[in-house]
Amino acid sequence: MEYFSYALRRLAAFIPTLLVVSAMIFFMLRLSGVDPISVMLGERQATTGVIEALRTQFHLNEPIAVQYLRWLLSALRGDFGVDYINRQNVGELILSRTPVTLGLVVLSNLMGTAAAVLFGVLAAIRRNTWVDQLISVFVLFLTAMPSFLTAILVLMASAKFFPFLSFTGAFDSFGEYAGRIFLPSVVLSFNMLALVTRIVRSGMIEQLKSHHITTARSKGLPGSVIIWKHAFRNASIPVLTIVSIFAGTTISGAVLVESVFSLPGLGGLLVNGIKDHNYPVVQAILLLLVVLFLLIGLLFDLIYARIDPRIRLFSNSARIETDLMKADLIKEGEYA
Amino acid sequence: MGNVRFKKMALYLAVLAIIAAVSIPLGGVSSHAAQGDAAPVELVVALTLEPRSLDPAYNYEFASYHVVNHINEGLLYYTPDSRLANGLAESWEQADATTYVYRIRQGVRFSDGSPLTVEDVLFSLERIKDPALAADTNWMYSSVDTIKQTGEWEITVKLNKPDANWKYVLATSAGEIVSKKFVEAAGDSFGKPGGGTLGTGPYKLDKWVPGSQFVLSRNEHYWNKKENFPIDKVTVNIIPDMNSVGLALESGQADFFIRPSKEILAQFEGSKKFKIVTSPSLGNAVVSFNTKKSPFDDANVRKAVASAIDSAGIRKSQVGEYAADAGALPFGEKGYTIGDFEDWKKFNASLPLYSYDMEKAKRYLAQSSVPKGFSTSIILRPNQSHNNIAQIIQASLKELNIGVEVRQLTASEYYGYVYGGKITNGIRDYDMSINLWIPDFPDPIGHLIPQYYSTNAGAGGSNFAAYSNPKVDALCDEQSLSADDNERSKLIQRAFAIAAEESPYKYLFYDNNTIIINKKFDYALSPVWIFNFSYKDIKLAE
Repeated sequence: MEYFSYALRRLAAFIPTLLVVSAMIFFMLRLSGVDPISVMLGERQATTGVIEALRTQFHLNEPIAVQYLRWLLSALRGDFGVDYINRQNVGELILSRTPVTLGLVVLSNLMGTAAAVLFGVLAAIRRNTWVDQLISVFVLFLTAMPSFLTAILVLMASAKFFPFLSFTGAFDSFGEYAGRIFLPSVVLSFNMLALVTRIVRSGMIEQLKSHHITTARSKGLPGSVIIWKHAFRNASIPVLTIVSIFAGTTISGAVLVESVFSLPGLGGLLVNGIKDHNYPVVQAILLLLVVLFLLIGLLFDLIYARIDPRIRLFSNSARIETDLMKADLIKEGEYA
Repeated sequence: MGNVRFKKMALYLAVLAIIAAVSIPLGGVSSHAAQGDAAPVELVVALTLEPRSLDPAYNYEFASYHVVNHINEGLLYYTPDSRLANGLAESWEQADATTYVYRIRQGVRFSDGSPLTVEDVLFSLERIKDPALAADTNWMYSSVDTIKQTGEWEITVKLNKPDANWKYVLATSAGEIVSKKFVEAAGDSFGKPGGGTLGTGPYKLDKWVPGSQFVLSRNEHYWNKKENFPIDKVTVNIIPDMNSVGLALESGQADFFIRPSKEILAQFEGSKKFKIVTSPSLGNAVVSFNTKKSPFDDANVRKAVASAIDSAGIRKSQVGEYAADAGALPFGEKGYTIGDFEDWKKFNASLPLYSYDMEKAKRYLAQSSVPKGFSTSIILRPNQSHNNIAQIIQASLKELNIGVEVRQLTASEYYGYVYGGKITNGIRDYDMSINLWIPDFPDPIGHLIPQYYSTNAGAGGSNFAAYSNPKVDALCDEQSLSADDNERSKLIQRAFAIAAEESPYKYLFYDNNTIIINKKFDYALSPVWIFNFSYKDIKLAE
């Protein structure tokens, strides 16, 4: 119940944030000075009749503030309008691109986190040995490679050695869907490897030196229990913080990988929208991203409380307390 | 001891990871790997951009030609040598300067089995004519007064003024016929992923997965039983990245690709599985000088700059053998579609050509209003090759002490400028631009009117040089009054001769149409492929 009311209070605080953000998005996009009519007509001749008809249909003759309010009120009802290029419903356009992006974000973050945890824990246990060195060089290399380059190399290898693996066209079943997003997710997961591995490693080193681990060892607990249940559990909070940030950035960071693997995702939709000055699409996706970031933030705050009972969400100064905790834990991780 | 446990744990996880890595991709094994002998003949097409819509009203771009042209047919169409032929119209005639009569073919069915009626035809043409729909081809109907049924299977189009363009209009997507019942039932969703489409063409739409795929299959109700075409199924896959297109072709995931980049062409020259088919088009690449803006309002400045541009060198370095060197006319020999062919050749040779000659360029500049040089800018769309061309021009003009700022714009910004979206005090807001022009009609007026007629310098028009000359306008009007192509041909030549003297445009090269196609198939794009492109014309190789 307390959880629930806390979540509700946090959600209510989103409203003013979203209002400010929506206005910023709407007006900043229009700073480019590109006339939506040029976007709609593209490389085509037009009569003044058509130009006037489009101005009326898209309410472009109205003052900009009125246009903003019109958009905001429709958006509140879940109607994001019609895009300038395909004249399609923006909500439907976004929905059709969501499965790919959702799959990429979830799978790449899961795989990236799992690999980083494994590498980080291994490096911590074998710290300052060749294993530690090798892991550190390996993850740095994977992260340092630009993802579009890795994507092209992976695709070239796949086309050469496994020509039967399809990387084009649509997917009809869940199996095909999973098959199509697997390799791109692997490529995307590389982005987070170096940082998360480092944080896990230093957190684990700190934990393994601490008194409660010494106590656990002296009690004769099995090594795996010490490592995972006692040490890692405590080292995992800064990892969650970092992963929560990565989860959000993957959505837009996936653009180049989506393009190389011919996957219709939100990243491609957003970037093409920006390039084409297709304001209705860009407005809707940016707003959606802001909402997602806020929700992910809330979700992870709730998870922290579950993992570490010392973190209290429900006191009067709940926000400040959790944020301070997070900051401390990150610092500990980094300075270890 | 703990480390032993840890090793075990790590081993389990590693095994799990390997199993996942091996098993998951198997779900994605492409289905066209295993097919029996009786399998339908499938063509897989790669396309870098998704069509905006399947509504013929918005079928005026390279992407949509890959899908819509095979589902919806026009009243007329073009033969491979750019002549008009009868499609859904059985016959047509021009009764007088402003009256065109079309007899509609009987017994035609849409792919759902419903019959094509004259009502469908009237509805389809009226849709395009209605400015509220903002069809891409609405401007083609600007001289249409009325469209009426004048017989059981006959319609008559009345123009409000003579228009030599009109006879071609119904062979473009502006003449494509839709089903009134279907369109009205689909409402706003017609031609969109939720609403689909319907036509009388050789193929029908089976599937549209937004952002990734279209599947077309044979229309069992197709009226033209004489057409015996081999391809049963066409899959169009959207592959936004050009490198991925190359890989898709190489690994057997695509058979056909139109307008490959220079790099992809180089990759497939001498390929065992693919051939490159290339043939001249009606289009060009061109540098336009804004003739209304100082100092380009001075013909000597335009001649100086034109003479400083090494168009042959640009053709060689940017497109190689996939284009031809340009002359003073906007089109090559494939564009000599009316009048006498030899006569056009002679006429072309007689035109002044401000070809690459730096000494001449210096002389022209010395006679101009800015003999000491000036600074200017050139605008271009996002296109690597155009960027290279702009840099070459920038380097050449430096020798004349003309400083050029290369302004790489976004596509929408660029279209805004060159289609008259940014005009201040009657003057377009740019100095020079690099453009492509593919005529809307296979007739010299397909270049002359949009690019040289003065009213097209205004909003929505494509007179990129903002060129205006009352004599040229008068000749354009005069040829429109004539139904005799030889006479029109002479008038059009006179207009081009006047314009060429003033050098508003510098043509860089005449572009080819180029495709990469699996050797299993045979196809040659015609100069007017954007209108008569049909998968039914793709044959199986011997």
